[in-house]
Amino acid sequence: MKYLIVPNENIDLEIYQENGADAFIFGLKNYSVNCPEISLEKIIEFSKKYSIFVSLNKNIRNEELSILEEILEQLSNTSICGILFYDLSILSIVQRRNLHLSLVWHQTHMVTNYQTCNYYLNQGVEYGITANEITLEEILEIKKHTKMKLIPQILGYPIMSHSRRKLVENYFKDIEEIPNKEVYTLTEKSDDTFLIRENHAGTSILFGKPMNGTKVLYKLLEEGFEFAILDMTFLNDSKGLELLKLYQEIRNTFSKDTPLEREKKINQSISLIGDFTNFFYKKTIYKVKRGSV
Amino acid sequence: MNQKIELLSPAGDLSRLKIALLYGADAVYIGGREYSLRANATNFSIEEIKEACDFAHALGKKVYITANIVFHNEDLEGVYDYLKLVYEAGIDAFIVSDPFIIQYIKSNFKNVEVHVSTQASTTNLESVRFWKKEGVDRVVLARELSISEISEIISATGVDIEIFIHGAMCTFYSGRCTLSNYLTNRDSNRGGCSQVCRFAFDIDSENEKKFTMATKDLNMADYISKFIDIGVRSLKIEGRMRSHYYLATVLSSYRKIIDSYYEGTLTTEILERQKKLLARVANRETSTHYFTHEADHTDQYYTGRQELSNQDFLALILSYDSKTGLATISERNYFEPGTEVEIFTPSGNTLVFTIDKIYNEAMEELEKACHPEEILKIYVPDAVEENSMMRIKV
Repeated sequence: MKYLIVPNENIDLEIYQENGADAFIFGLKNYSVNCPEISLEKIIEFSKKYSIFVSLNKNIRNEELSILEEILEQLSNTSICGILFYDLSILSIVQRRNLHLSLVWHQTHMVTNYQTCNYYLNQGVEYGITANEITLEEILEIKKHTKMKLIPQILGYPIMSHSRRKLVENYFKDIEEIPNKEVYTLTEKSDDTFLIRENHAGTSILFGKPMNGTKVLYKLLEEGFEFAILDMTFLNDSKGLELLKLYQEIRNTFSKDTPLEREKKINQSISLIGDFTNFFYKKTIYKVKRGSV
Repeated sequence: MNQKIELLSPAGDLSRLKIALLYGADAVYIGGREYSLRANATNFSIEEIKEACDFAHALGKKVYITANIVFHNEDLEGVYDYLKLVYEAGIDAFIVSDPFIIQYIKSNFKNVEVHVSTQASTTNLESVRFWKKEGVDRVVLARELSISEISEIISATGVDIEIFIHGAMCTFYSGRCTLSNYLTNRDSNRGGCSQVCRFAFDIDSENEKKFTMATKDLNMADYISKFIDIGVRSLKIEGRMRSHYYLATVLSSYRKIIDSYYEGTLTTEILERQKKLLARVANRETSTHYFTHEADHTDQYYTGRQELSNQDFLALILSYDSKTGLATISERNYFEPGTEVEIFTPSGNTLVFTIDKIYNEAMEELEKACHPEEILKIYVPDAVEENSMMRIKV
């Protein structure tokens, strides 16, 4: 299994690589959300040394299309591993121009069933990043029915929503203050917290606990998954590296690990980031029974 | 001028569907009992879909059905059988967001359109071209676009474009929000949205004011002529769970604006009157959002839910006896003799008068009407149609 790392900007890529990173996901300045953004030049430079996936996952506007087309053409002449896309304009341009680019279907919350995976596979899309809101069982079921290369996220703060609105800026405008933090924490009635941040493309909200996918990782390795995402965003530098080392160790030893050793490693990860397993083992309901609200 | 623009209404059940079509909708969109993004609405059984189609087609109007959830594996079982049943019931279009459905419908059914839901958040002309290549007949654009962007898309692609013009807005891009999943364990992309964007949160800043992100509603009454001019195909009203009165008022107002514009009779006076009616029935503040500007803090709520209670709707007209001049009505809100009222009819007429006397079914005179759903009789100075509605004079 290859680990695709969304890096924490404070850490050198070499260090990640030494600790088990196989590839990195970067955003392109002004075309990405929820990903460290760098310039096209930097992407090209990195791609000569590292395996790089480029996330172009914002919603695209008409006025951005011609530049986007140029960017895609330039990227098709590099050795990047693939483009993560949300907006279908990217798929459309790549098809229309017959560009030599591997595509990663990354419609954050929509990669939820094998039929749609097969649809995009038939459109020439090679990879799909499974939604964080589906169960492990669903991920395994999708794999059974598609040849698309699936990439589940198994570490990091899950993205909950994205708006074009500048929700933080707007709130502070209303109270006639100026925001002074990059990330704010929201709390509702429950103990759960949420992280809210803005960039050029709008506002994103992330769940306030990082997802711990070590238990899931064992299953994914057994089932022959080839890729997984480890998102280091907001993780303390040393903690992030320690976790990467642990994930690396699990990858190397999973077939030999006894149940006791597995439990030990999972517990080690829990001591670092807690035991939040997101929706891996929790199904979301969608039909509200009458009288229940 | 191109084909006349379509006024498209929501309908949460059969009775709302009939009201919507009678009050000026050219087409309605409904949810079936499966695969619709409003799992908590009543929604339609196959038999009801058939009845809805028969009713609409008899009026020369159309019915579209939503099958726009983001499918999970478990939803796939039986989906093709369901689509076939719905198709055979006579619907005119499927509104979908998951693209594998498009291919199936296009390969298996004839004479039915496929519309891409706003859930797909289509924000640019290249994406519309993609859908066109896939055989899609219409694209419901994302609600984050300006009028000029919409115009560019229409000119560049020639695809039928539908836009939302009235009702509640999502704070986040449609399809890009799972707040509901995380906070309430309801899947927002499968019809379980619990509107978490209207909750109030504490924020870790020094002030104590709650953080809210709810948006004002959308109201595009001022821009209907513009939409007609740039070639928008369909104008969509939001709200499959809205009331009969809300639908009747909103649809008759937009019907009046559209028809007046086509007839060349749209005056400031007509427009202002319709805007006044729309403002009264919508119990939330409104804005034009991205259509006219980059949405900012003025497009959001920061002082709690600014909803006003509305008791304008007084009664539904059940029948009218031309011999006696008596209308039989079903009461909705309090009124009494001397109340100035107006009856607005499905055919677009308005009759203004003052309530004289109120009787119960046994023709006993009452001092006031104060029991919702009670059947009453009142004298009306002119003939009125069944399903007309009586409200406070606006």
